Formats: sequence, structure tokens, C-alpha cells
Amino acid sequence: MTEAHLIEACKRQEPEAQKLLYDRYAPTMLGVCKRYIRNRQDAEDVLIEGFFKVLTKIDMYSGSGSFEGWIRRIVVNEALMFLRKRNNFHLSIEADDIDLPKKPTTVEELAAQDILDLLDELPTGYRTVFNLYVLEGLKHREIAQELGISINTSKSQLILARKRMQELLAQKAYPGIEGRGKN
Amino acid sequence: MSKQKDIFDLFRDNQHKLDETPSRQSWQRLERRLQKHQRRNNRSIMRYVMMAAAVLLVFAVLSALTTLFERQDLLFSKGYTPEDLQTEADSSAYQLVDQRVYQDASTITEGESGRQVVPGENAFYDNAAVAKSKTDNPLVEELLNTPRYTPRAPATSDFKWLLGDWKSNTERGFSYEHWEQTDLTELRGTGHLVVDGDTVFMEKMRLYRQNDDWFWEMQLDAYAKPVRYRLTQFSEESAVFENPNYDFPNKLVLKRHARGEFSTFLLPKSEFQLTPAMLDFLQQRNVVLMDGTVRNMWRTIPDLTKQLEKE
Repeated sequence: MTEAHLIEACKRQEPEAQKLLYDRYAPTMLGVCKRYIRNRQDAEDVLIEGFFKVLTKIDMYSGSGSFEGWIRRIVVNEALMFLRKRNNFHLSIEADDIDLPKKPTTVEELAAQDILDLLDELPTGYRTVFNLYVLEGLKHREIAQELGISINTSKSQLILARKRMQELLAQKAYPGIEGRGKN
Repeated sequence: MSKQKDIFDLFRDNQHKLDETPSRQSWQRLERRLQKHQRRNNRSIMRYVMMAAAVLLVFAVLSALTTLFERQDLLFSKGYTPEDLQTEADSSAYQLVDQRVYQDASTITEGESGRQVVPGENAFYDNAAVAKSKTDNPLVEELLNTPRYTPRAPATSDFKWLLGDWKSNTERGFSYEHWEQTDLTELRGTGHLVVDGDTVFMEKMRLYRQNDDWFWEMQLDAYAKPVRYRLTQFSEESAVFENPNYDFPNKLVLKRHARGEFSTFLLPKSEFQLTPAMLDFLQQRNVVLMDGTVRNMWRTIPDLTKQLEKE
């Protein structure tokens, strides 16, 4: 079944199509939720909320742009709403003057657990900015608007996130990481 | 030397590793919420319909009262008393008033000499136009004329019991039927008649949904195009498909019996005569009786075993 047929069937609220759509996209979207939210159960709650919105507002999908991208935006929004309820992004320290150089790494692969471990080590503010900037491709201006913080806070949190991750990666003794054990 | 990567690139390239199938409970919870949402939607649609109906009712009552009062005023002005209105015999009084009201409304004033009165065009009463629009499209007529009894729209899952293999040992040979799901809302079936190991007859059937209607499509003879019948009645045990454009079969009834058996009846509108081509086609896998045809099919052993295991 093509994506277009699936969308049409979901617009008619056909239960089989809804299940098919869920089966097709839920694993990727759970991956997205896990990047934002520490607790696995919370991540699944956000996933359910996100898919509920996807399936009940599917009429709003215009057909332009990638369907997966549309689902992803809804799920990310849901994750941010969840985080906003529990976190105050304003409290994060601004660090305008931090300007760390990019440290290249020869590491090619990261295991799923290592990704989660690294993300879990980051404070929520760093983690959220990192996800939005690096993995969703948002600009600092957009992140600032999304989280209700200043552009500088967004920038500094990203820098601090990078720094913290490099340290952690080095601690995990990944071969090939430059400056291993330092920072 | 291996390619050097920034830590951010490393994350981008490996993020898919976090993909994971959610727990079964997640889908069940989502499904329950969707069902609840659907029920609430249906209820609010019903509420709007009822509100609209109430508004219309109030409007109808008001306009009826207004008309009544207007008529009473006219009658009183002609010297009728309220008592006159209560007697059945004086219904002529109403007729008289109606006539006067009509005359007043349709007073014709004379125009310049030489003008002709031409009948106005009134599309609403253009019977020819109405009749034409009805007969131009057989499907429209079919949809207009067939009563709908379906209490709820069946889902594909309501017909899934049909999937798999069925057989019947008839006088003519072994009759087989196989059904499979070909799309979200489409099931296709093939019927065979096998005599001495050779397939001597084959027919195709299709059960599918289009917009809000379910249709059963089948051939009636070997040379004509398939004909479709619209679902008009539905329950767990039976489904009735109809096509008012055909005297025979006018109805197709799909009847599900206890475990592992079902029947297909083809029924006429009233008396019916089969063309030789139709008789030749239908009697291959059906028993042709005075008042229709019937075909009974049983589960093949492997499918029955599977079904019993599920139950």
C-alpha cells in the first residue's frame, strides 16, 4: 500500500489503516521521543499523544512536504510540551563567551545504548537544544522561540552540550576520539 | 586514515539506532483513545443534527401558527365566526379563503398592448428534466432507489471470516472457493469447478468498499461484464447486497452458518427466467431452484483447523 493510499484511508478513520500507519512510523518516532525524554514510559506516553494527534488531525496534512516530516514535527512538539511542563528552560546559565573549537573524531559508529547514555548525562536544557539544533535542524532563533529562551542561551547550551559530550565520549574510551581523557 | 567526524555528525548518522518498536500496550492505549474520540465525534454530530431538527421544528410550528392566524383573520373579515372554523362542514370556508389568497397573489396587471403572456420557466416542475437526471446514470438510480438498512458501516474485519479456502463436493464435481484480502477495503475471491482433476470452470468475485458503500461484484454469465450489488443489510450472520436494476439476481445474500460453513443465495425480484448463458454459468457452482440459486461452501480442513485454533 502506498503512502498516499494509507493517508487517504486514515482520513476516512479506517482502523486497519490507522494501525498500519502506526506500525510503519512508531518505531522511528519512539526513537525521536527517547532522544528528548529520559524515562522510557514517559517517552511512550508522548508517542501515544503524538500519534493520537496525527491520526485525529490527519485532515490537516496538506500533502506538500514529507509525511514523515509532518509526523515528526507533531511528535517533537509533543515532547517539547511534555518538557515545558517539567522544566524551566530560563534557568539555564547563559554562556556567551564560550567558544570551543570543534573536535573531530574518527569514531564512525555509536551504539544505541551509548547514544542514550550520552544524552542522559546532559542536563535537560542542553539535551533539548542539542536535539533541536543537531537532529531537527532548527536555527538558534527558532529554538529560542520554541523554548522561550534567548538566542544566546540557545547558542551557549549547544556549545556546552558539545563540550560535555566530547568529555563523555572520551570517558567511554571510544578509540579515535581526539583529546581523549582531556577537557 | 579514517574519515574524521564532528560529534554532532556522529549523532546524526547513528540516531536511527534508537528506533524501537513500542510496547503492545502503547497501541492498545492509542486504539482505545481513538475509539473514544470517534464515539464522542459521533455523539456531537448527533447533537448538531438534533439541534438543527429542533430549530426546524420550532420554525415549522411558528410558520404553521402564523398561517393559521392569517387565515382566521381573513375568515373573520368575511364574517365567519370562530365557531364556524371548528365544524368539519365548513372546510369549504378554508377553500374559499385559499382561493381568494391565491387570486390576490396572482393578480395580473395588464401591460402595454401587443405584449404577450408567455409561460415562465420553472425548473422545479420541469418533469422532463427531473426524469432525465434520474435515468442518465444507472449507478445514481441504483443508489437512489435502494433502501439502506445498514445500522452501522461494516469494517473490512467484519468480512475477514470469508478469507481462506472453501470447498464443496457437488454432483458436477469439486467446487473450490478461495478468498484473499487485496487491499485495506477489498477482498477478492475465485471459484473453481474441478472435474477429474481438471478445472472446467472459473469465476471471480470481489467484495470491496467504495466511499461509504460496500459492493459485491460478480459475473452472471461467461460473456457479460461483472455486475455489482450494493450492501443494504448487514449483521454478523448475514449480508444482503442488492441491485434494483436487475430482476435476477436482484439480491445476493451471504449467510454465515456455524463454524466452517456459509451459503450464497441469489434471489430474484419476482418471477424470473434465466437466459441460457446465465443458466450455463450459474449452474456450474450453484444449485438452481425455482426461487433462486444456492451454494453451500465448507472450510477446507487446514483452514478449519486454523480457525478453530483461533477461536
